[in-house]
Amino acid sequence: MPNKENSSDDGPGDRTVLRARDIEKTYASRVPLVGRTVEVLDGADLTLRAGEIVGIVGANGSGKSTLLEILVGSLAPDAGRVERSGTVGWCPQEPRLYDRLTVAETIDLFGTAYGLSEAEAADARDRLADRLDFERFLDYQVRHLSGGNRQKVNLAVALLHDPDVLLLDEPYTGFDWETYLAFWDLTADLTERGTAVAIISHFVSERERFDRVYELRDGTLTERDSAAATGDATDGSVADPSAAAVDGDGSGGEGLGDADGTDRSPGTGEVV
Amino acid sequence: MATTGTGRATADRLTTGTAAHLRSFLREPVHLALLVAMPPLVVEGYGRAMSSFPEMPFVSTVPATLGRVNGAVFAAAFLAGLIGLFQVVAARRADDRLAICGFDRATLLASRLGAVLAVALAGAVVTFAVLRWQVTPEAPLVALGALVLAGATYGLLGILLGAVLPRELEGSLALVFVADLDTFLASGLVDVDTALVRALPLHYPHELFRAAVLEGSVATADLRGAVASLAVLLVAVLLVYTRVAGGDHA
Amino acid sequence: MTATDRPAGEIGGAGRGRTAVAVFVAGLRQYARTPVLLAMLAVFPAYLIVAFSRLTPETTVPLSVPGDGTEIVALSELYAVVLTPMVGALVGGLAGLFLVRAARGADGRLVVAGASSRALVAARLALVAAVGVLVAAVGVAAAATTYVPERPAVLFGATLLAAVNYGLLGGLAALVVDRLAGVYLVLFGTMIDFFLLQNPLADDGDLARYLPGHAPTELAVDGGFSTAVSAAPALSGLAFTALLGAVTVLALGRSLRTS
Repeated sequence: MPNKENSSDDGPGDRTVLRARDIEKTYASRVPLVGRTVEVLDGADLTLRAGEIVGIVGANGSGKSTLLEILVGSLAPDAGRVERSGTVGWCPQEPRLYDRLTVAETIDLFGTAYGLSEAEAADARDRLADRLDFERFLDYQVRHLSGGNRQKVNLAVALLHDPDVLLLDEPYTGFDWETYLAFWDLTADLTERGTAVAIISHFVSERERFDRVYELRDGTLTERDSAAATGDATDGSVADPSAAAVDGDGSGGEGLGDADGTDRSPGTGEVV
Repeated sequence: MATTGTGRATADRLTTGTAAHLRSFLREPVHLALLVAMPPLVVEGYGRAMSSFPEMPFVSTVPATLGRVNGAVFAAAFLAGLIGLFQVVAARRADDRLAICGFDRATLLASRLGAVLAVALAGAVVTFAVLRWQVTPEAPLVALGALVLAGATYGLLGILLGAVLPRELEGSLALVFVADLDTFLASGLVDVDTALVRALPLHYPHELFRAAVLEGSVATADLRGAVASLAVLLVAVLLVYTRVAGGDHA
Repeated sequence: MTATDRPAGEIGGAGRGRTAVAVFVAGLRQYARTPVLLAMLAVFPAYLIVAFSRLTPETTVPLSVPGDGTEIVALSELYAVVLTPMVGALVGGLAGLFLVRAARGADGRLVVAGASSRALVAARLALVAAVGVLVAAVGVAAAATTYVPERPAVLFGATLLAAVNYGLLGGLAALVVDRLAGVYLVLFGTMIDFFLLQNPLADDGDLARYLPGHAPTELAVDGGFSTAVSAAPALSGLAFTALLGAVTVLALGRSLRTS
């Protein structure tokens, strides 16, 4: 439990920064008698505490992204309540960005929305561009970026304002190995400062990184032991042939690697 | 990967391919809506718009009827042109892969052309039915055939347009303009008879259609011209398709 | 803990004015970087106003002009005048459609980040108006190559009105249908409205007076051929636009808050 020391441990008064209760959501077909009605969430409960990293796992189509959208307020639940304390950063699964703005313009615009001054936005931009390695793409229009670089910008937009709560939906899709490691370094720094992070993840081997793991199944969330059941792929996440986790600096361990020791990029599966 | 098959296997592939391409096209609701709504809109629309035109010395028919004739040609041409465009956009994405999986290229192209012809036929039938509501063609079968010819011509043109502008939205906007201008210049509303106007794709199909509807006649020169246009476009399509969908694979 | 049903950032968002300006400027950039929108700004006037009016047969027609009674005008001049607001509607409608559609996911995210949904909506409306001004200027200039209207400013106003009306409708369409369907709706919708039902040479049917193209067409004919001002088309046009604007504001605002 790498971030346990960062999470608030004040017993009954521990600092909960986000609480969701009895969340329900059903997607109904717009046209009567045509199409499908899907009950995605059926009484889901979730709590996030300051300084912890929480994983959310579940099968494809189980409603994880829907849950995150409800937590952040982009989607209204059919029932239930979400309580938030502090600022929230959201990184959706698809980069919801303006395709024809450059990276720099995008950050300026979202910085304005966050209430940052020009100087603050510029500082955050430079810092994140360096950390996530997209400095050389600042003048590129978003639509001209590769998938991985677009995702870096997507993540950077969520981090611009140093939020108290970070909600990330498969944030490292398409990342190269270095950026993937940089992401976990960054996450460690954030939780050290007390930021609560919730990540939708498919990688079983990453469970060692999480303080707690929720599994979304049949519309409800169940807290699972984060160190339990490596290799248990019944929830639809990718099973790791090796048992050990990847260390934060990439050293040691076998991480996502194959039995012969080759490492693979988490986003693409390509050999690094 | 070279694939040989019996005649039956080829026929199966042709049927499967054509059906798949048609399904893809028709599962876009807007295409279905266009197939149904566009002919009445355009035929009646052109008719009403032209009812305000004066009778012109070089035009031998009532403007409103001429408007409906023009509208019919436009509708039949545009609908087929649209599927032609969409076929080549889809071909870019997937035909190379399908060929690697064993679908021989000739059959693949034939199935795409089959889908275009099917929509040209459907568009022509719907358009003809709409026209028939207000205008009684003198030679109905010939008129229908001329509409199919107009559709087939523009189906091939749509493929060529898609090769140049391989985006569904921009391509279909360009198609609207091209078809509209072509129809207008072929309509006889403008007293111009130059080699350029005669070379336009809809010139001969339009003449054939107008003569079939209003006079009940077929001018063999116009028929030859329409078939020649079609042949030229077909050759162009064969060349373009080979380029767009990738080369041969061993 | 704050119990709230509102998006995460809105409580602490940026100044509305600053946000609105930032979103407006970003929207202008997106417009300028969308080749098909720019192309339409050039192609529609050139084809529909200049080419069409020049290819129209040389003949004259009697025309009922709102402020002046009946006049005999050249058919080509009539088409130059009445097709100008139609071009405005086409360009405005497609711009509204494209810009709202392209920004849908990102606009929602911007609201979550703290931007006021009201500021966003205001910026989108300002963008529609800006495109309207642009196409009105281009349209009147194109019409003037065939026929110089009696009062170009009135023709400009008519075209702007048409562009704004259809820009708002395009924005509304973007909330409901995808881009391809929206394009056909705008394309054929404007043609039916302006070219068929609002045609000054045809009977003024009951349906025509309730459509978005009615006031702009009346105003255009007035501005094109009349020396006397008739305020009625302008007033009814503005009332229609205000109503449409209110509906659009509500719909856009609702779509931005929560889905």
